[in-house]
Amino acid sequence: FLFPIKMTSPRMIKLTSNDDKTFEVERDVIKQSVTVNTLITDLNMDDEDVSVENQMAIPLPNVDAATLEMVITWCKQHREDPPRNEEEEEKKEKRTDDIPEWDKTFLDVEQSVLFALILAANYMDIKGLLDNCCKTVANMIKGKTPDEIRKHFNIKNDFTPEEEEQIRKENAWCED
Amino acid sequence: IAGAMSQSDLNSPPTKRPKNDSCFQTSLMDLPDDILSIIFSNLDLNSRFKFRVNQRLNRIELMTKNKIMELELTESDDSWSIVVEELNGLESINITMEMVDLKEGLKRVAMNTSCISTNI
Repeated sequence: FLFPIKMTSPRMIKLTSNDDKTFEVERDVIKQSVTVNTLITDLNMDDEDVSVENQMAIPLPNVDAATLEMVITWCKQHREDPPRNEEEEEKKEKRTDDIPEWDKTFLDVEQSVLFALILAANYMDIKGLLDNCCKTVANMIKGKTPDEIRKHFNIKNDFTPEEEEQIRKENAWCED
Repeated sequence: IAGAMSQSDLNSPPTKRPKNDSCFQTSLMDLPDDILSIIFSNLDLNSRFKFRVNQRLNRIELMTKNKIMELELTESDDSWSIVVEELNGLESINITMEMVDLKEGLKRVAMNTSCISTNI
């Protein structure tokens, strides 16, 4: 006997950026976003037998299209990652030299793009992406003097002369 | 719909965003305090101190708990040597200087560090 094999395509979810671009992404990929995952669950979207064409798009008012596209690319790359145990992550030693090679290349972008990605990862609650972005920024800070940090990130020094003197005293043990 | 990507896209190296992407002007200081606190927590003590480059960052550093495994303070002749070992096992500070120069840094560290035991 030959049984017909039913090919089921992966369930797709629609996301809309704040500049009105809609992205279709596999349900399994976007589960890494706690924000989107919670919305899908709360709205019973998993139970609905609705084609993707007729499906309501989830609006992401804090994320623009270019950033959302990057977020989706990252989520696709990390879809096979084991689920994070936040308690274990908290206990783990903090390292910034353990960013995967793919992520290092992916996050080698202009500062403004990296910071937009951090805001999106924070809003969409994607811990792995947020962690690797923050580690990338930490690596940009390490080895720089305060003046180099100000110049690199275009940060204005707003210390009063008294505060500046206090910081200088506290930093006396830091090697240049 | 803009976001249709194939499996082959995933196998290729990540593509870079265009350099002159004018719609993205987010700067480091646009990040919320809790994110800047995460960045501080990823820095060794030496870099944490140096990253206090304005009033806001100085305040956020104070709210971010230090993760120091061991702080060893030894007196020899007229000077004190200090070795700070962080949770990752790396030494972030290893310097010998007079106590007058050390004390302000030590006072600052003590503000946001829980102490389990002290050895002087």
